[in-house]
Amino acid sequence: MIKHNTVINVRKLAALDIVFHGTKFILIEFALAVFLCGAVSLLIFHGVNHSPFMVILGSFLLWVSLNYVPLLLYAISIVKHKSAQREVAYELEHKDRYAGKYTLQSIILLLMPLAMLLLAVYQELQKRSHQ
Amino acid sequence: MAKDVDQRPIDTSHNPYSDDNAPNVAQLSTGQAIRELPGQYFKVLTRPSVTRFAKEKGKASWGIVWVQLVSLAIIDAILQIVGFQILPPNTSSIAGINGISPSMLQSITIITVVLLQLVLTPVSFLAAGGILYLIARAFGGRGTYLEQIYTTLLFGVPLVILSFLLQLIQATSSWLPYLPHLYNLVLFVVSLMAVHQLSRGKALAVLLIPIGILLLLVLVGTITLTIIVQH
Repeated sequence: MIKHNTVINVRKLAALDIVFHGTKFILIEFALAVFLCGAVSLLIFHGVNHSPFMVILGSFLLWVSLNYVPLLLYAISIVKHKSAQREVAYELEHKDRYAGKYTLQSIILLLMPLAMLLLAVYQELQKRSHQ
Repeated sequence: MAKDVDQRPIDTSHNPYSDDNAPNVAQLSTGQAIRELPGQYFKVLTRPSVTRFAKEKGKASWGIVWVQLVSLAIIDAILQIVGFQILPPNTSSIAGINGISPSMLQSITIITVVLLQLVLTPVSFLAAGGILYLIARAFGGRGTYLEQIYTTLLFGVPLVILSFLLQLIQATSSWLPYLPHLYNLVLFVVSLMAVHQLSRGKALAVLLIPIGILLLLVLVGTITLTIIVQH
């Protein structure tokens, strides 16, 4: 039986993105988000200007970069196993129910400090404890 | 076995969650539009979605945009004055210069800040919106500047006012006023997806690219200044 969780599943989010936007596009998007945002934020923290404005914006880019890490890792794993369609078959069948939920929650989780990263770790631990 | 998604022709510019067939709403009179605003603010803040913004963008008009911008500027200015009543601006370091008394200097500071608030609120909103609009267009955005500004105001106005109100609480004024801005960013990405029919990744890029460029410009500027000063 399918369990209807309130919070989205990070792995399924990566799979949905691959199904809707294509493997190459999503891998490039996730990699750019991780490495480009991470590089800019690290440059800021190693720079000479440590004003609150710079620190806040630098931190913002850093946590966006860290939030994309689990998505990138999941995307690589899904592409390797070619399992995108299979993993989200139920969500694709019930697009009306999941579309809005996944869109809004994914944006909130990506922009909130470390939210996506922590959720992914939690869901991974949950999954392993049930195995 | 599931079909390999690599083989599927996919239009990456299309947002699968957007509602291209969102009903076009008949243009409302400005008075009617003003009366509907509180309800729209509430809906957008409490139940945001791409479909919601797609519906709201049909109501965009310059009349209601200017009403909101001017109202926001006036409310911000009033709240700024209230803020100065709670914590007066510190002018002690420059008081006494050219024979200006501290109280006179304080009044001049308050009037200048309030006037700047009145002018800069709409100007900064429209200018920042213009830059983001150009980036969205570069990513294949299909919406208009008016639609983007209008949908941004639907959450921008209440959240900016909330942020100003939170600024008045002295104990938490260093961090609490930033929280509405975080939610602002989330709603901005959703509104970009609806107005320009962009994917989540592209909408996020529209938001992150100017932040990255701004940071790099400040960094380069600081390094250049440091080198100039050292020489």
